[in-house]
Amino acid sequence: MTDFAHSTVPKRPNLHYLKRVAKDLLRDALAGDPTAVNRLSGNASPKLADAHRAIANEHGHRSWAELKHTIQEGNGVVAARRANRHAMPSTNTAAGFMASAKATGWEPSRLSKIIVFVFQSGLARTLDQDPGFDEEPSLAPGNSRFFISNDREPAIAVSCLSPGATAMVNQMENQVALGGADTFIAYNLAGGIGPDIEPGTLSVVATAVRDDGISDHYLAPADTVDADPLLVERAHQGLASQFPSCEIRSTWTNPAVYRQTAEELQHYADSGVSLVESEAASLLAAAQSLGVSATAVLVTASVWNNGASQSAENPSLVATTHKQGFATLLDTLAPRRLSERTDPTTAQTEDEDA
Amino acid sequence: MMNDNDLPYTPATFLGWALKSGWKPEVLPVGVIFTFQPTVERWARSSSGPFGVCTDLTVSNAATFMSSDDGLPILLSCLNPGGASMVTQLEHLRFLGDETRFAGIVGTAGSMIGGLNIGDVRVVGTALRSDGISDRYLPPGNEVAGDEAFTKALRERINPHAEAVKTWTVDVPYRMTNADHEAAVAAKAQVTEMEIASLFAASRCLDLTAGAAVVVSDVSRADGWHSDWSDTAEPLNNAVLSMIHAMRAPVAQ
Repeated sequence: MTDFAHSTVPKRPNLHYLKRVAKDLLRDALAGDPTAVNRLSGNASPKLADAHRAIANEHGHRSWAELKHTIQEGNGVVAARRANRHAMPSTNTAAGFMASAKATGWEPSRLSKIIVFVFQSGLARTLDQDPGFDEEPSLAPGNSRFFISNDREPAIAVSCLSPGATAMVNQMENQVALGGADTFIAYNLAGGIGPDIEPGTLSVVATAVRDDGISDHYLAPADTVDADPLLVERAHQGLASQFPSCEIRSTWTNPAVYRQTAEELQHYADSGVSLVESEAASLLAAAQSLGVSATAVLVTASVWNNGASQSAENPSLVATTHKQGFATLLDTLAPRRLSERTDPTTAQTEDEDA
Repeated sequence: MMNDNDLPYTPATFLGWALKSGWKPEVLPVGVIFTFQPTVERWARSSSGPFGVCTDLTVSNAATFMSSDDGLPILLSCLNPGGASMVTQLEHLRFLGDETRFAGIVGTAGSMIGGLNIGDVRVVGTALRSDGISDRYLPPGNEVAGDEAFTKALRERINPHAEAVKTWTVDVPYRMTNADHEAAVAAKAQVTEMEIASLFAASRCLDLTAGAAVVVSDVSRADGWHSDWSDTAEPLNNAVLSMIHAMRAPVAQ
């Protein structure tokens, strides 16, 4: 008989999450927590296997292997092959897709070395008005916009997408197949988790929890994936010079924004994960697999704390940070050529004249 | 399955400040059709399409249109490929009111079997769930079906001579292994795409009536996938029109 009375696991089975719950149970039992020891049938010196078995029993299964099998079987017709999926060749490739497109007369425009993915329409409108960027529809995924700088070194492109990782990793694969960008950054809004992060805070992502589904296509199963540490350091250095509260943090990537359970959020808060969003783990996993560099830069828009989510009390602070952080990020990664820079004194005079 | 009390971040959290500050969509549609091909967006924007631009129900970096004829309002949402934005927009529409009852996809798909050629149109009855999003909305399972009656209505309007097909919904296009492909074909999948399982699952959870139709744009052969999008534009537009009528008919009765 399953007893969920003291269970802290979410109702949606998730092997990655249950592994963490088992580790937490083991840690608590070894620390002498009586509730944890009780869940382990009074065993005060348990091993990880004992914790796994206890969690499986709480979910109505005789063993961890049985629980694992049930979850994997239930996660889709091909899920049982996840363990080595990333290492197997694909029947459909970016090179093949590009060849098909070129056969119909398509040719890419000029390529950039860096691509920043953004997911808010306001930035696309800003780029549309910026004489330092040219729109390049030939490189845009379906129903999106793509801009390339004309006054920065190296050239930097901004891909304006709807939220979600599918089109983003698709574009990464196409760029690598074309010999284009080798550095990718996702710039997005995120939810903050716990009391230590405020709305309007900038973060550079060093690690992402892989609850996204897509990363399994690119890497062997694991709980997390890391960003390129050099790129993280570079982005952080540039952003922290303008935004002193900017820190390097970890994020939980969940592809359905309104399906974060309170139990999951509490778990990640307890684990020191500060952010939640929908793209970072997919980006970092695809980048590692493709041999390119990536990180994510996130602006906290809402915060979950003490069991409740709240949007920013001052949305304009989030919007301002989002816009200014984007400009600082671009300047950090690809500064404007000296001859192209506007003299701020002259600009001020012109403004006053106007 | 989760109930709303388990979910602390909701459309109310996100849209709450906008509603408080006076934002209110002018019209809520009875149905929403998601599409991912730029040819449909161009057609919707042109004077020949039966749509007007809709600015108050749009998703970031996407184009959204509302039907502009005298019939019941239908929203056409032109998104990037992938299910994440689509389910977010569904959640928003559900939160905003009870008006929206139907959700559909008209997209392109790859054919995994012989007998389906580029330009062929099929209604989708069932989807294999390799998408990563559907298990946020439903208990684990291999498949999810669209609404039976709506699927039947779509078949009658789009292709009455062909049975509804089963699709294999994946979350990325360039990571289909041979083993996965074979497993999907063994499970009777005839086409593959990237959004339908997510739509069917989210719609069940949100109590919306869902259906889907695809136009074959790629064909799997022994030497790999072959694509040709030139023959898909007109069938896609026609399928959108048929889906609009299929959504309106039961509401109008």
